Amino acid sequence: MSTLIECRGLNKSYGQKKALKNIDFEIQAGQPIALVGPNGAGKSTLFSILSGYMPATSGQAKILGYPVGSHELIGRIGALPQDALFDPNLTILQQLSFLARLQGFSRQESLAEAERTLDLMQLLSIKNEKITALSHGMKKRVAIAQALMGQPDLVLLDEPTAGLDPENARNIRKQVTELASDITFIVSSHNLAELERMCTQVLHLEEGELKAQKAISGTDFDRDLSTTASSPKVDYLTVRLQQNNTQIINRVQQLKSILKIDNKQADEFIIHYDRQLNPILDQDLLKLLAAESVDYRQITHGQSLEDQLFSSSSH
Amino acid sequence: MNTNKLDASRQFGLIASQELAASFASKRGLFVTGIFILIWSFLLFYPIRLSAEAMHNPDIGSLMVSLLSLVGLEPLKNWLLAEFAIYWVVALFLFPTFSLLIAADQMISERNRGGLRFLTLRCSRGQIFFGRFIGHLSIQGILLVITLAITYLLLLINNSENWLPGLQLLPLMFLNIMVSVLPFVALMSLLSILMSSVRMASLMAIVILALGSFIINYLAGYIPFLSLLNTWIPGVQLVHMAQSTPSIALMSLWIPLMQTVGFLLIGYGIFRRQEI
Repeated sequence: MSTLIECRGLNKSYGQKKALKNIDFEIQAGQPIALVGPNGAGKSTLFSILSGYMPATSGQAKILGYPVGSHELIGRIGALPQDALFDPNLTILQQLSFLARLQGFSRQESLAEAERTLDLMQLLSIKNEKITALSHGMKKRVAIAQALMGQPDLVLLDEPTAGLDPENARNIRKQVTELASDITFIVSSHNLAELERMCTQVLHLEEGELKAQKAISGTDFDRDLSTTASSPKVDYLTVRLQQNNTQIINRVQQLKSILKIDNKQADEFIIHYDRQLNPILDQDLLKLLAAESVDYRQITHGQSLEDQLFSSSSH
Repeated sequence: MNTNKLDASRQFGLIASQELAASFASKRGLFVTGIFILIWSFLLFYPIRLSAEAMHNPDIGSLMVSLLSLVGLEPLKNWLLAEFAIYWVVALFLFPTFSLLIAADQMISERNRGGLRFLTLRCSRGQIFFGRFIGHLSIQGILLVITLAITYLLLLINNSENWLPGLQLLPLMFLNIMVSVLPFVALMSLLSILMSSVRMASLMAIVILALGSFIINYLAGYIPFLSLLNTWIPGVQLVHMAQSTPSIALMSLWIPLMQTVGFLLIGYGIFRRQEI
């Protein structure tokens, strides 16, 4: 795998306010990456710098080995900018085919490319409409279609499913997953469950600082650089029962290798255990639930992205 | 990937041609062009045609010459081609004024709605900035060619034996007027980078043109070398050009050319670092 993005000492200030503080990270080309953080964390600012919409105050950002904004990157990055709108006076097809022509397509090829990406977003039927005739969700999907034109190495999607209905949000997740073998996506969203389904890595920003860069696997031993060799190899099982049952939690506590049990909700708990001591705890748990006639709704290996981020923040 | 087909001059041309298409597709572009056609239809078929006819008429001609002398345009009486003489004065002032209106929105609306972000990943900021400038200049060029062609047609109708001198004068007139328009479009390129609304950009241009000389002359009363700044007011040479013939007016064209280069360099310098 090659280094796709390299940021070193990246800072961005708006007057006295520091939007990004000394951001350092490196991303390899590959599976989709989630960019998460609360409002004002600096996600859109980081996207804007990587897309060349704004310069950093200091530090350096490189994509594919070239400084952001280099001529060599033209046509190799796609982006869904937040709140960007197309020209209200020209049709969708006119505008997308024009952008495709800027990427090097001939007149005929550009029309075909625009139609291809509109089709991916299930918008082919509105190609001759103007942007003012479309709903908010449709406008967003048109903007995603433009980001997918050509064969970019990297696509930055800022809140791609915000404001979309569940069916269209699902379609976008499906497209990202299908295209992920050819394109590296970086997706920012507040919907952590969605990111968990699409992405394998996460960049966690908070108050302009990079809090964590880790794999989304729900296990401790591949996520925190702070974990030492002597630390227990902590793993997790997230259990969701059909109904609240405190007695079963006490029984689970007695199983081998259990370190801790967190009650997430009345019917849901997270088991922390040492995987080296008991690699088949999941099987033991299933046997226990069967023996106690306790119905469960879901058992997940690992913990949710939300739990990972909040637990790591609180450490 | 189509990077092998990426050609800087092709992208530049695409930006310019898209600007042309978008300008005529927008309500504002259509409105301003409509006004332009109305004004020019009136000018061509009444003042220009009637004045030319009057200058051809020995009885009324002397009255016309007196009128021209009164407004400082006496040299026009020496023009062999009366239609072009009137057109020359009108076009030298109207085209720059028109460019302030139609070229005011080279970036502003698109920057405000975030549309520039779709472009910057596909071409350089230089291609966008200079492409837009060329696009708007092309609009002026097209309209200039149309009005010149109609004036030439009027000349043929009134005085067909002058077809050859008229034809020879066309490129000279085109060059002079086009170069005179350059700094006005370049000023609007610069203001469209600096201002947050089209209205503000147009207003600022009017302030610069109307009050610029006044302010500079006032300040030059205290600091004399500041009077040199007058050279940077677009159109400063237009009165002199209007009193000359197109071939003599060529000598004044260094001023608009210098202004254009200056405005464009400042505008591009700001735009390449601007947040969009």
